[in-house]
Parts: sequence; structure tokens; C-alpha cells
Amino acid sequence: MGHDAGTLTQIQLCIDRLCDPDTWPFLKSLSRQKESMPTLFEIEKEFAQTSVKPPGTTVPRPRSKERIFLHVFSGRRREGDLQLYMEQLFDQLCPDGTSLCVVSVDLVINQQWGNVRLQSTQEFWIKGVLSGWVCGALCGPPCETWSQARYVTASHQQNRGPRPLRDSECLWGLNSLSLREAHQVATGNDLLLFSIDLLYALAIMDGFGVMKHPKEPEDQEKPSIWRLEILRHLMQFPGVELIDFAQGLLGAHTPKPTRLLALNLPLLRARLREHQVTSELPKRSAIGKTAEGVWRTAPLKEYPPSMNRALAAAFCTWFHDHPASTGMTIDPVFADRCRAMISRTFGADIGPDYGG
Amino acid sequence: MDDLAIPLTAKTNEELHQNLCFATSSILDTLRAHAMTPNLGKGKTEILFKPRGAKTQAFRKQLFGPQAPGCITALGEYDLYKVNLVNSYLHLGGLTHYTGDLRREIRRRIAIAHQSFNKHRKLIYQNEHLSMRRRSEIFSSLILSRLLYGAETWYIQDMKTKEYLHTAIIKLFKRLLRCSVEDHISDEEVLHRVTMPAPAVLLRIKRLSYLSSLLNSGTSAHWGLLNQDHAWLDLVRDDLQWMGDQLANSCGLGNPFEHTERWLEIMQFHKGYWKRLIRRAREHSILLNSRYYTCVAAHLRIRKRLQDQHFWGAPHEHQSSNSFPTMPFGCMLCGISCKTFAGEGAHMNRTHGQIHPVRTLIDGTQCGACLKEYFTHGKLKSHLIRSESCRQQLIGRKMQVQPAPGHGSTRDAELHLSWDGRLPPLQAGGPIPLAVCPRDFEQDNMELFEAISLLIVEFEGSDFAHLESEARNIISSLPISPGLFAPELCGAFRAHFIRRRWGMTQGPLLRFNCV
Repeated sequence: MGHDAGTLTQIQLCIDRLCDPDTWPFLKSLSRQKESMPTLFEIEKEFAQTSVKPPGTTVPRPRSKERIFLHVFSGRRREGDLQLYMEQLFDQLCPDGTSLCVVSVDLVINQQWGNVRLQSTQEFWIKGVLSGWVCGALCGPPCETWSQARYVTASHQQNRGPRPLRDSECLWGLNSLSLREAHQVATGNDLLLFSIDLLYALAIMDGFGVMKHPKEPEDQEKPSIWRLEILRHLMQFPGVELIDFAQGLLGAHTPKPTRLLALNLPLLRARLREHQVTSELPKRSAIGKTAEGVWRTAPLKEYPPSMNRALAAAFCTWFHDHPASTGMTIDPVFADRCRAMISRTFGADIGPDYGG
Repeated sequence: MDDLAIPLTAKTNEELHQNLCFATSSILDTLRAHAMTPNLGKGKTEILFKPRGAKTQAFRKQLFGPQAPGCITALGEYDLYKVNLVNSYLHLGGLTHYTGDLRREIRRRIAIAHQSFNKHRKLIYQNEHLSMRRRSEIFSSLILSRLLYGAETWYIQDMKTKEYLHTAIIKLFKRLLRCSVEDHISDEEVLHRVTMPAPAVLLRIKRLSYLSSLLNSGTSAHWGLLNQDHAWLDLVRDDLQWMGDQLANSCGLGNPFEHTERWLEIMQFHKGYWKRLIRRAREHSILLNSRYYTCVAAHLRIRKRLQDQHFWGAPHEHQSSNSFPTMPFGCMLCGISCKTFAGEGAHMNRTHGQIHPVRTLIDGTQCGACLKEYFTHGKLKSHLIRSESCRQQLIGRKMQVQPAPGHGSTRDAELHLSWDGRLPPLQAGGPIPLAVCPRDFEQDNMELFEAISLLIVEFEGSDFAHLESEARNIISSLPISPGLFAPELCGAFRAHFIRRRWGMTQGPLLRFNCV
């Protein structure tokens, strides 16, 4: 009868647990199901308020002998592209009998397995990552709907360019757009969300990855993916680093300030610095259209060779530091699909943007 | 003369009644004078009468009370005409209720839609060889057109009916997706997958199309009547604002309230363009819904993966709450969960024979204490739950009857249908029984309270897991709702806490209800 304060507290805790529907298995399922879909604001707030809790101790994951790397939104094959440098450097750095498979995940390579707007395609690649078959990925989701150039052209009434589709309040797209613009924003969101999903999966599986997008603008009113709560949450993962640099220093025709979100690639910053080809930023800008009517930003979608080499060097160093283990095998269907998507044919044209 | 509907209004109920008699006799006399014999039979010529304003209760009793003839009698030059007074009338395929209530009409429309769906279910709507886009198009043409026939004039008065319509349309969409109505798919996902606008948007589109037709009908539309329908006009204003928002960045029409003339001109003289604008607004709303769904679904997918892999950390800000988490419905003895309170009540009744104690005081539709007639068992039950004095009087009289069929039963539904809201509760004549000492029901679950209290009192040592397990066994042995045992547990603990503080080692257990 004579319960002390500590005992009473413990009894109170017992009662609290009894009153929690989640402690009753048959009530748990229904209490979960009854949750309605949260609003975008609510779920973003939840991501903003929640921290990443990495496991205390990590056991090195087994790696297969076939090193699969996804190059998402790779575009056409060309001289000095990432795949070329990765294949060259991999042979030099990893002479341990392993093989490299650089998969070009792009619509121009494969209409089905390169189309990451399809749910089945997204699930296929994410499953590959979560099964530990994919080691790393590079994604540069299209920035056309986020571009700062939209703000520049909007100020000139003559020769008006495309108008802004997002702002700092509506990062996922303005509420009122034309139908074409709404489709464009939906496409942009889908591709970005797949890239983020892929990086989260790689972060969970201790893989490596890079997401490339224009640098965050200083103007707080302008939109940027780096202001998305989900990306800020991803940045909390151990091994995630933000690298700001200008592609102009690596050989691009314009300064092109860029930010990379690098996952588990501690040497990438140094590699980029090593591969600078100039110490001065180019003075040209990429606003408007050329005489042929092509957007000046179109060629800038392709990374300069020097940047590709820097990325390839960082990726191959990761392969070198994470040797393959004998027990790990890849599902043959997945492996065959990946092999079929290694692009060997060099393309002549840069693929069009959604905006043409 | 076919399908003639004449709206009448007056400042008082008496005046309206007079006008009605006069109009009826004049019209029928005119027809007689032209050698026409109008059919005054059931379902052919009928009157819907809605008394409003002062002395409405008395007028209702006069028109619909037990002594009422059920018809309006009008004296004409040629004859004495008797026209049926009804609650609802099927006019031009739409069921009109005298109160403007749309529940029955909506239910009818949904039944028609399901019937049409079943007709070509396998061949078209659930045929996987047809693309979802194609099936949605056919669905819009054949099913939605029937479901929303006349919906442009609907003004749904209560939230319950709005939710009912919304749920019914979502259920139809789910059938189109070939998923069970029981499947837990959010409405947003359903709309995204069928590429259809939300049910509320479907109604908006109907109204906006109708607005153009009204304007084009010129003076033949009853503008005076329409202008008096403030509720409907508010809906139309809201629809125009919605359309303006959807099209704000895709056409130069501007805000409909700032550039009304421009909008009216398009509605009136450019019908084709107006239709295209409506279609554009519809498409835009579908895209907007899909966009939000895609973003939220991706966030939820990532959150779930992080939770499964134990990467999802604690929130930065703790939401402290002293209240217990909301308990779902179910039965602790049977170990089942129910979706609704009604479902739980049905289970408790069928399996464990539990009923609401108030039902033991109901053997008809009249309150035995105040002698008021409530017309349905459900309304009488609500009265006895609310009215403490009537309930306590009946319990004080030790009234214990075989419970009459409860709310939701076939019998009660029949009673509700025959009553149909026409009459207020009627006070019966006769002497009110003498007042007795009031008593009330014992609300709490004494068995559970005593068992848990005893467990806490007799607990010794530090094996709290065992204590919890014992308490779980006690709770699981009783046919009790999950929502009911939390206050009992809390009450038992507080009683014990107070006894300890006061140094009481014996004596009765005090009860404290959890607030």
C-alpha cells in the first residue's frame, strides 16, 4: 500500500502506456489508417522539425564485383563526358577484377527505363539502390523551372522570356499557371523528387551520390531547391557536404554558379579544385535566345569535361576505398537491365528542355 | 401545360395559403373553361408547402398534424378542387423536397450512377485494355452526366450531405480504379490516378456552364426568383472567383469582380470560348491537385523509408500534451477495431447485447415524462439523453421496458420517412404524471474500476511489466470500448494517489473522473 513517489510515477507510466492505442496491436493498425493525408505544409513542417538519427555503429555493407553507377539525366554520350572519364579512371584505380557499369538513365537512352516519371521505373531503380546493388549516382535534375534567368527576362517587356513559375513561398510551383506551365512544373517536380528519393536511398545504404543544381540565390524572394525542407533534412545525414563552385572555372562558357550536394565523397571538393582550368570567371552570360532561336542556357546543361573528370576521379576513389566482397550478388534481371542501358553511341544533338 | 411549376410566395403563412388556393382554383378553372381535365392524381398535380416565419409551428400542425386532410382545398367556379399536399415531388427527373433538402435526390442520383456503371463495368469502366484516360473520358460522359443531372441548381444545406456526396463520388472513382471501397487510398490519390477534379469542382463546373445558359436564355429565365436565391448566388460568386484564380495566369480576363462586364460578355456572346475556359480551369485544378499529391506522397514515402530503417529522428520541438491519445473505436474483449462509433455500438449490441441505457426508457415515440410526441425512436432517444429532468423522472419511476428498435433500424427509418420533418414535437394533452424522486444511470464501468484499483493497491515490488500485463489481461477480459477504459484507469490511479496522500489505509475507494 505504501507506494513511494517513484513507484507512483512508474504506475502512472504503465497507465499511460495502456491508454496508448499503439500499444494494442488490433487498435494500432486502425489508428494509423485513420490518419488522413497531411497537407504539403504539414509534411514539410514535419521534415523541418525532425532530425536525422543515424545508427550508432555501422557495419560495412557488402559490395558486389559489378559496380553499378547511375548517371541520371545523363543526356547524350559525348567526348569528355562523365562515363568516358569514369571508365578510364576505374581501370587505373581499381585493378582488382571488378567491373564498372555506368548506367545512363535518360529518356534519350531508353524510353521506359530512362523515363523516371513512370512509377514503375522509379520503383525499379530505388529497389536496386535499397538492395545494395547500386553503389552511387549522379543526378542533375532539370533546373529550367527554377532558373534565375526567368526573373531577368521578365523585367524586359520587349523580347520577353519565360516568366517565373515558382517563388520562395511556393517552391513547388505557383498556384496559378497556364496549362503548359503547370505540366512543366509537374515534370520538374517529379524529376527532382526522384533525385531526392534516390539520394535518400543511397544515404541509407551508405552509397555515394551527387546532386547538382544552380547555386542558391542571395535574393530570399527567389526560389531554389536548396530552400526545400526535404533537402535541408537530407543535408543532416552524416557524410553530406555542400560544395559551391562556378563551372566557368572548369571550362564552361559562362560563370554558371553551381552547388553540389555530395554524399559520402569527402575528396570531391579537392578534386574540383584540382581540375580548375582557369582562375578567372568568364564574362559571358546565357540570357535569352541565340540567332537560331535556341535558348542560350541549352548548351550549359552539359558539364564541362574538366568537371566530369573531377567527378569521375572522386567516384572512382570511392570504389577504390570500398572494395568488393565475394558474397554479394546482383539480381540477374537487374544486372541485365543495367548492362543494356550502358550507352556506347555518341549523340549529335543536345536533347530539348521541356520548354523547347 | 406539361411540367408546369408555379412558385408562390407571401409575407405570412395565411396569405400564402390564400394565394395558393386562389392560384389553384384559377388555373384549374381556366383549364376547365378550355375543355381540359387536369389529372389531380398522386404524382401528377401536387403542392409543396413550406411554412416560414411567425406562427409556423401552429401552421405546420394545421397542415400536417394528425387531424389534417393532407390536401389543399380550393373552391373554383366549376368545382371544389382537392390537390395533394406532399413533401417531395419528382419534377423533370429531379426530386424536389419542400425544405430544399437534397439528401434523397443525391441518393437517387448516386444509385442511378452505380446502375449505369454496372451496365458496362467489365466492358468499359474496369477494362484494363483501355487506358485510364479513355475510361475517365467515357466515365465523365456517361456516368457523371447522370450523377450530376440538375446539380447546377443544387444548394446543399448541411455539411453531412456535402460529405456524403463527396464520399459517394470518390467511391465511384475508386470503382473506376478497380480498387475496393475498403482500400485505404486517400482522396487526393484517387483524384490523381483517375485524373478527375474534386467533387466540389465538378459542381462548380456545372454551375458555371449553367450560368452561361441562363444568360443566353434572356428574359425567359426567372431572374427575380434567381435574385432571391441568395445562397445559390453566393455559390456562383465563389465559383467565378475560383475560375478567376485558376485562369489568373493563363488568360487576360482579369478578376471576374473587377472586370464583370468582360466576363458577362464572354458568357453571353462567346459560348464556345466560355466552354473552353471552363475546361481549362478544370484541367488546371486537376494538375494542381496532382502536383500537391505527388509532392506529399514523395515526402511520405521517404519518411516511411527512414522510419523503417530507423533513421527518422525525434522532432526538434516536443509537442507536450497532457491529454491521452485519441482512442479508436472497438471492443477490448473481442480484440477488434471499428471505424466509427456507430460500428462499435452495433458490435456491442449484436455480440454483447449492450444497448444505450436510455433505450430501456423507450417503448414508443412519446416521452413518458413530458408527454411530447417525437415521431421517431431516434428523436426520442436524443431527447432523453439531453433532457436530464425527463430521464431522471423515468428512471425514478423505475421504468424498464423492452427497448424499441433504435436509431438506424428499419422501423425507425420508416417512422422518420413518414414524419419527414413536417411537424415539431407535439405536446399531448392529459395529466402529467406526478413527479418522483429523480435518479440517474450509473455511467461508469464499476467492474473495471474496482479490478484496476485493487491491482494498484495490492501491487508490491518493482515488476511494473507484470503490473502492466495484469492490467492488460483485466481490460481484455471485458466487453468495453477502447475510449472508455482510459478514464477508468486514470480514475483508479488518482483515487489511489489521494488515499496515499491522506494516509488512508482503509475505507472506500474515491472516484475521480479524468478530465
